[in-house]
Amino acid sequence: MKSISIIKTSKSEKITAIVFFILFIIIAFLCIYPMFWALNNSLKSFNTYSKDSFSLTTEWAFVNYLRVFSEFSYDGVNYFGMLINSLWIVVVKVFVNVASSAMLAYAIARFNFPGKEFLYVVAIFVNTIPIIGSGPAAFKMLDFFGMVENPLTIWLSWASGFDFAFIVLYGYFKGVSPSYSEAAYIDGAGELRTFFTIILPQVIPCLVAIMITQAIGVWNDYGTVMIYLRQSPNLAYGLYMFNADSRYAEESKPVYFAAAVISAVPIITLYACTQNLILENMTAGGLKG
Amino acid sequence: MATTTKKVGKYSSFEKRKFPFVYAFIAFPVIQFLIFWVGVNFSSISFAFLNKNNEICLDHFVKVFEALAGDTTNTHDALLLDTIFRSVFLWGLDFFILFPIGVITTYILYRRILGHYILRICYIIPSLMGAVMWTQLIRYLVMNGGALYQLVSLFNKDLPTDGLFSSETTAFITIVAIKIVMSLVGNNAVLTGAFSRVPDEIYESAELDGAGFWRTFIQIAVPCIWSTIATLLTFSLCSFVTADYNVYLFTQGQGINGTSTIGFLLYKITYEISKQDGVPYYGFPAALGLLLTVITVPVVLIGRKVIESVYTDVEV
Repeated sequence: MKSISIIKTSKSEKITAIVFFILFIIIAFLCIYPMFWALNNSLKSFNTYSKDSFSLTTEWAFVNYLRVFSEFSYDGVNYFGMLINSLWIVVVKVFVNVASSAMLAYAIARFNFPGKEFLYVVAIFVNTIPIIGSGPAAFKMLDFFGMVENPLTIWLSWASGFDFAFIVLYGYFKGVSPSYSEAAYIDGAGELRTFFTIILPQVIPCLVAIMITQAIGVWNDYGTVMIYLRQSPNLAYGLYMFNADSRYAEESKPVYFAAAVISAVPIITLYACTQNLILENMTAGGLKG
Repeated sequence: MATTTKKVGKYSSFEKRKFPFVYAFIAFPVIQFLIFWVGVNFSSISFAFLNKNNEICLDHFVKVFEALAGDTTNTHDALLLDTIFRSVFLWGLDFFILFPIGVITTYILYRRILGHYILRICYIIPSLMGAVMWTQLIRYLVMNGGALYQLVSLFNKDLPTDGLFSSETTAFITIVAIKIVMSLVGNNAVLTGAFSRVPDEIYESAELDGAGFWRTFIQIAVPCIWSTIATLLTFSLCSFVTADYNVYLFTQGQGINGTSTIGFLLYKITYEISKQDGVPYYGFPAALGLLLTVITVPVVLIGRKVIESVYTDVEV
């Protein structure tokens, strides 16, 4: 892609470009300032923070980052425990969701079978028509099945194959030429082998892009944990409760900011490293049905 | 050749041989869907019509209408009508203003304005940090003495002393301002993916024909990615009842200072039920949800038809 053409065209468009650029810089500042503020205060002692939380730090109290692992805890789960919970929730939730969506999308996009059109319409319906207020009923059902506070079974409720990942994957599977699978069949490959060794490798960039965007959402998801997994707090829920719970002293604030910064680092790094992959492979369009 | 097998009826023998594999492959997602989507929603609808003795009644709907008239018994002190208006306002802001701005912003970043890579990362940082962290940090900034509080106080001397979230008049405006900043580059990933699929030659030939930046954007870029825009708009048509539950974080579960939204209210009701304090009341949220669904469905269907009819003959 060539550079933006407004830089090199008419005078009025050059002015437009400059105005946009200034606006973009202001918005960028608004977006990063809270993070910078937290980073700055995470390196202060409580005394300095309480006197002036907006001055630039001169103390460089890196000890706050060590204190995160010894002092930051909620309901008996320390920071390391929350980190482990965040990791398993991300891995399990993303994997089961993408796997389920991929199986459904592959079957509907590549095979002709009774019920295919119906399932596609259902998927579009689920994504576009909201059924509102079912949260309490969902909680009651999961509670009935013994899935609340149960990491061994809660994943079953996360394995939906009919959500946005389906829409994206359906388009990708549809776009893979049938001649690849036909060649595999001629060479004697079965359906599973064709799927895993011929088709899946061709949609891996898309799968990875979906997984990363979902991982970002799940890493920061406090809502699910707050209702279904309070005894296994992840970092997002722990950070919320640590701040909201009046039992935790004001003196812990710089440690809280340090914990917040550490929590954001993995996900910001992941995005920065994979930005191009995500941007080139995420697309959705052409809903029919 | 596999695909040349004779087709008898709707399915060829080659296709029929694949049925066992296909049904085995979709079995898990379909069963999961039947239990956790169909089952849950069927259960929710039944809650709306059943009383404690499992008798069919309309009591819960009566309570919803009472709430619309101002009764706050079942809405955690939030006025339901105001809550609905607030949700519709936030949705309208998102749908009619922030989404188009997001498309323009993404396009400019895609056309590689100076510093586009860094800018894109800056814009995504609030999403990467997550709602919890971002809202907690914003809470500090709008407290009395916080940077944003001090900035606003330059223009308005009558700010509440306990911070911008402590008053009805400033809390919702603050949430709107934060939503604007967080949504300016919403859907960046999907839209950039769509823009990148438009061949460069199309932009180049438009430029050769003398089209300027805005003309290229409006007459070339937007029609070329309209199917993606239509999909995102269609999804967001129904989001007014589910979005903005992060108000929960801003007000730490209170949401009564003129900030509650439908998404927040339904989340709070579910959370209170999950805490299992007192007797859980499933009927009210189910009836409220059902009424909102009935209102929303025709809006979504009509809206979708309108959106899809805008550009129907563009092929890239």
